[in-house]
Amino acid sequence: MSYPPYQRSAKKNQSQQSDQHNDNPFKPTASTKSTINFTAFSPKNDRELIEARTKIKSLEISKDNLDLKFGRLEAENKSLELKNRELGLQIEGLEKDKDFYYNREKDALKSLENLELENIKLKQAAACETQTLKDKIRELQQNLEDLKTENLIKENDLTRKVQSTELEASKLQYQVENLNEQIRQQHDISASRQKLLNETQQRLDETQEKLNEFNHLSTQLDQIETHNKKVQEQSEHIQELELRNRYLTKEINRNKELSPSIQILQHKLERAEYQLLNMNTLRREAAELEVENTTLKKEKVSWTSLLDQEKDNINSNTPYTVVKELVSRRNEIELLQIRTRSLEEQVRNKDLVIVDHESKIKELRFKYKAMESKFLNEIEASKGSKRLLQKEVEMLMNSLRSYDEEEKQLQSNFEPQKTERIQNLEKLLAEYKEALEQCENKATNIQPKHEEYPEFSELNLHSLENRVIFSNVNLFFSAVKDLKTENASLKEKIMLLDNQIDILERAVGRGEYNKETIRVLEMKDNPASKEFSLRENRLQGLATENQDLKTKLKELYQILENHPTITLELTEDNDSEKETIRVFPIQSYLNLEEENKQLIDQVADKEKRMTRLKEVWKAKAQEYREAVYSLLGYKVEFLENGRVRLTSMYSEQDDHSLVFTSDEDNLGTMQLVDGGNTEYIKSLDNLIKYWVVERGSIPCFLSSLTMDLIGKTALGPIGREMDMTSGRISGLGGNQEFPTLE
Amino acid sequence: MSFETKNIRENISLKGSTKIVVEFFEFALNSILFQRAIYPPEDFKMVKKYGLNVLVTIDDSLKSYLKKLLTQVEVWINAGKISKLILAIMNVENREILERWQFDIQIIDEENKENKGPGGGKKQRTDQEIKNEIQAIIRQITASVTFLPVLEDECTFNILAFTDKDAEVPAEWDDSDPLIIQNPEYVRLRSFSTKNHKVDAIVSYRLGFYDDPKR
Repeated sequence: MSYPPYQRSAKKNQSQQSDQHNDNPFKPTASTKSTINFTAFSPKNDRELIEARTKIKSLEISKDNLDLKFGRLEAENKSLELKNRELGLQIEGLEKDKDFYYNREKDALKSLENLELENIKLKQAAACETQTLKDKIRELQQNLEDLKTENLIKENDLTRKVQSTELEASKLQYQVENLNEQIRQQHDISASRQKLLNETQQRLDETQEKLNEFNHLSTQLDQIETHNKKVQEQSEHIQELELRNRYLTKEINRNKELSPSIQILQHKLERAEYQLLNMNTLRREAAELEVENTTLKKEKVSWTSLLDQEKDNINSNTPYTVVKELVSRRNEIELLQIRTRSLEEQVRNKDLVIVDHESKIKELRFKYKAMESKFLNEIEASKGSKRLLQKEVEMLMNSLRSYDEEEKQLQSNFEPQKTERIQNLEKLLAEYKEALEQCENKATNIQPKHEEYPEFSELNLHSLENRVIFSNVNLFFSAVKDLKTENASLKEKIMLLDNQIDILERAVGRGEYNKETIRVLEMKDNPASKEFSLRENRLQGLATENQDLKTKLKELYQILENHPTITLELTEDNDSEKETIRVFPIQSYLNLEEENKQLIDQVADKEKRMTRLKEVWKAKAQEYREAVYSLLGYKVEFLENGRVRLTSMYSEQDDHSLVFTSDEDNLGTMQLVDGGNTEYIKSLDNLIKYWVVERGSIPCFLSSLTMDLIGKTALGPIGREMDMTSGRISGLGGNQEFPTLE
Repeated sequence: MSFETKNIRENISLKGSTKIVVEFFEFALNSILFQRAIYPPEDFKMVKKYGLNVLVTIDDSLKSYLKKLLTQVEVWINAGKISKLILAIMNVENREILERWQFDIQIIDEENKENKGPGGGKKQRTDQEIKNEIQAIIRQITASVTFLPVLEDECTFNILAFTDKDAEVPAEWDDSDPLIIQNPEYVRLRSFSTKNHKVDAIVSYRLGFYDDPKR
């Protein structure tokens, strides 16, 4: 705690002024001396002179007394003036208080008025609120009525909707039935056509077979004719051969008789035998051909009979017409086949349509179930509302009864308003009854309608709407699929980008950069280059020194080899010593110089560090003393010989200080040895005796001293400022310098 | 708003942003040099900055070096020609790079909402927010002593500026090696961004355990 010094100096000046003032009454003023004129009196005799002198003395004494009185009166006057001032100040204070209280009273009155106004406002507001609340209640009642009407309208709408949906369902059912019938008819038609087709196919097959047979037969007839011809030819040939054989046999016989050579005859015989053999085969062939001929004849007969039978169908028996007929029938068959295919396709399409319809039917059934449950819920809700309405009706009936009772009781005070009210209530009741009846009717209508179409009321939605919904659903599904695929691709992209980011981050962490666009710069004069150049220089110097030393060594070896006596002279002779000095290279000297410089720099650096440490130490010591001064209230000065001077921050004078020294044992404990002022120390005898001598506690002594000093200075300015920068304490007694810790 | 006044305002905001970034570099570099014991602790004094007690050098040579460096860096940032500022700590004996403090400077293009870094398009930051971000980085630098390997040998440092090829380079500056650490470990520190700039910080370091042949 520190207080400005000007307060103390002001007090001092005041006291000095008062001292001066107090001195005045005892000193004769120059003006009084000058007023007494002794030359004005002329003494006639000694007595008179003496009397006059005594008178003068008495007058002087009286004058002095009067002066004293005057002084006292003046002092009294001053004191009275002071009192008067004080009283004036008091009066002013009281007047201020009066004004203050007057203002407060005014404020209170104002606030009272305000409160009254507020109260009135609040009352008005409350009245307004009550009014508004009443209005709200009315509004709510009206709302209730509106809601009821709305509810009725909704119910009506719902019933209409139900009816319309039911109608639609019936229509759809009818449509479905029609469709089913159509499908059945189509099935029947397709079956009949299939039968027809099969029959025609069978016929076609048969005709085809017949045609084949016919063709075969026609070819066979040709063959038979050729065979017949061949057979005839063969038979003729055989006959010729037989004739010839006979002729030959005749000739053989003749020749046997005629020809001498048997061999020739034998050859001829052999040839004839061979021809006979051929004849046998020919006979066989002829037999076979005859058999074939007979079979063909039989077939021919059968074909001719068949052709006779088919004369009605086939106009002419010519092969051309037959072939034509065949071609036309084939065309017919193809056309029928095409038709059957188209019919089959139609059947398939119809099947697909049926499947679609079945699925739709399923969906509609599902929807119907949902609708049914919804309607059931609504019915339940309407039942609940019905119950509530019944309750309300009961309540209203009760209230009506009570009104009737009141009416009976207060027939004399019966007002037209009440009658209106009752009429209104009766109307309301009637409306409620109607509403209830409607609800009941609805409830009863809804149930049977639903029960009428249990199996096919699912088609209660428009097919167009369904299609739209299906198309929308498909679109959504496709959109979802697209989005999923997109999402997957984006995820992959994200993965790739994450990997890329990781790779790039690693590259950044390694400190990689684009060498083409970025230039790496450094300041030429940077700490690293300084260090490295220093070291390089040193290394170079050492290397050159080493080199020089080597060369010198070689030279020396050479000299020693040439002049072996020089060695002794070199070591002993002073002149030769000069030569040995020359032996060392210049570089080593330069190196040493460089090293010296470095060492000097190091020393300078160390000194710099020492000064920095001292500065730090000084700052820290200052900080410490500041802390001690502000916390414990004593300025600590470290004197020579380990003595310590303590000066309290509350001490009245600068020399009011205490000097401590360490114990003889020098164990860190202190003892009080002296003070800055002996009188001051004497004034503290009691404290020292009590705390230091008897109890041996310097901290307690210092604390009690601090308490005493602060007690003394409680009315005046407290504490003194410590100029921490210069190590001075400024206070009442001026500044005192103390040595700083350096 | 006329085009000229708009330009003037942008210029003012750019200069303000550059000043913030350069000031951050000054305190960050000082903090690193103190925390990594490149200079003895008595060469630093404590200063209140960003709501923290930050240590700043009192060594004249270092002060003048940093001042020269940062004035040029400021010029480059204003011109938008600098992309990285790197403080490399190296062994004096063998010149091995032990640590590399990398500050990436990104320019935020507010006009086109297309920034060169990821900080663009955001709402304007208040001074307090920027201060808090810088405070967080300084705290991280202080805390980095816990995970960075101890620098046992005598170390020195060098500061590199990664500029564009077309940047004006004063005579006091020269091309340098990027001082890259082989197979480094790296830790990304926090970043801060002003209206015009975003500064990311990364410290990469060599794990001596794996490379030291003595072990």
